[in-house]
Amino acid sequence: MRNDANGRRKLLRPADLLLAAAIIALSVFGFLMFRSGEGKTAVIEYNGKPVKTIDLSLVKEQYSFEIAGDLTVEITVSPEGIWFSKSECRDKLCIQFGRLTNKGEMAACLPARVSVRISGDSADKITFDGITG
Amino acid sequence: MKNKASRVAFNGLLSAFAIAITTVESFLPPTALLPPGIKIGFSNVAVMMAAKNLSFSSAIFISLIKSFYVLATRGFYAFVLSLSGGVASTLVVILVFGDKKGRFGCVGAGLIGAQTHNLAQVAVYSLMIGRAAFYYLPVLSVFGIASGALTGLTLYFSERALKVFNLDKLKSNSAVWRRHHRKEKQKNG
Repeated sequence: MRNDANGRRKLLRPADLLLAAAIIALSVFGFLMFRSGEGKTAVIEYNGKPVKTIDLSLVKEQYSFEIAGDLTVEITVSPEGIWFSKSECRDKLCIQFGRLTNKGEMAACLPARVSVRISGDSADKITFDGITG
Repeated sequence: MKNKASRVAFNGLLSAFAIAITTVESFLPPTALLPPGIKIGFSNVAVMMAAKNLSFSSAIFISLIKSFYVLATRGFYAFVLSLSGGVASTLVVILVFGDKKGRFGCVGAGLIGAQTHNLAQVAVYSLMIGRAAFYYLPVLSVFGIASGALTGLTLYFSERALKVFNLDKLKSNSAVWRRHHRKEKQKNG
C-alpha cells in the first residue's frame, strides 16, 4: 500500500531505507577518502588558488599572520594545528571551525574567500598559480 | 472560490512559518553538537508541505521568500548559499511528491531534500573558495541524514495535526479534489 488509509503519503517506504543506507555508505567512503592517512600540510587558498602552504610538522612555536583576501583574516599556526584567529567578516563562521589538526579538515571564510585545509600532499606538490600571499 | 482562498491562506501561513523558523535557527548559538554552518533546516518542512499539498509555484515561492529574508538579515554570502540549496532541493522535492507511484515516503523526501541542499551548496561554495569545500561534504552528509529524517518526520506528523485545513482538498487539480467536487455536484444536482 503506497498511501495510508486516508490517501496520504506514507511516513516510510522501503526506498527511503535504501536511500539512507546509500547516503551512509557514501559518507563513510568520503570520510575514509579525505581523513585516512597522515597529512601535515596546511594549504591556504584565496579564490580557490593556493597562496601559502605550511608544513605543520616543522612548526615549533605559535605564530600568526594575515591573509588579505576580499577581507583580511588572521590565521594562527601552532605545533598542534592551524586556525582562523581573527576575521573582519560578519558572522565569524571561520573562527567557529576551530583548530584543524587532522588530514581532511577544513575551515573557510566565505566573505574573504579564504580557506584552509589540511592536505595529505607534501608542500612541494601543491602548485601555485603565481599569486602572492 | 473557497478552495482558492484556502490555498492562498495556507501559502501565506507556510511562508510565515518558514521565515519564523529561519530566524529562530539563525539565533541558535554555535555548539559542539552542530559543526559551523550546519542547521536542521526545519523551514524545509514548509517547502515540502507546499510541494505536496499546494503547487509547484507555491513551493518555489516559499523557498525564494526565505532566501530574500536571509539576504536582508544575514547578507549576500548567506543569501547565495540559501538560494542555491533552497531552489535545488525544492525542485527535487517537487519531483518526489509529483511521483504518482509514491516511491518515497515523507522521510525519503526529507532525506533527498537535505542531500540536494548540501550538494548544491557545496558546489556553489567550491566555486567561491575552491577545493576545500568538498572536504566538508562528508560532514554535511552525515548531519543531512539526521536533519532530513527529522524534517520528514515533522512533515508527516504536522500534516496529521493540520487536518483542520483539509490538506488533501487543497491541491487545485488533485484527483481527491476533483472527486470531492463531483460528489458535491451529484448531491446538489
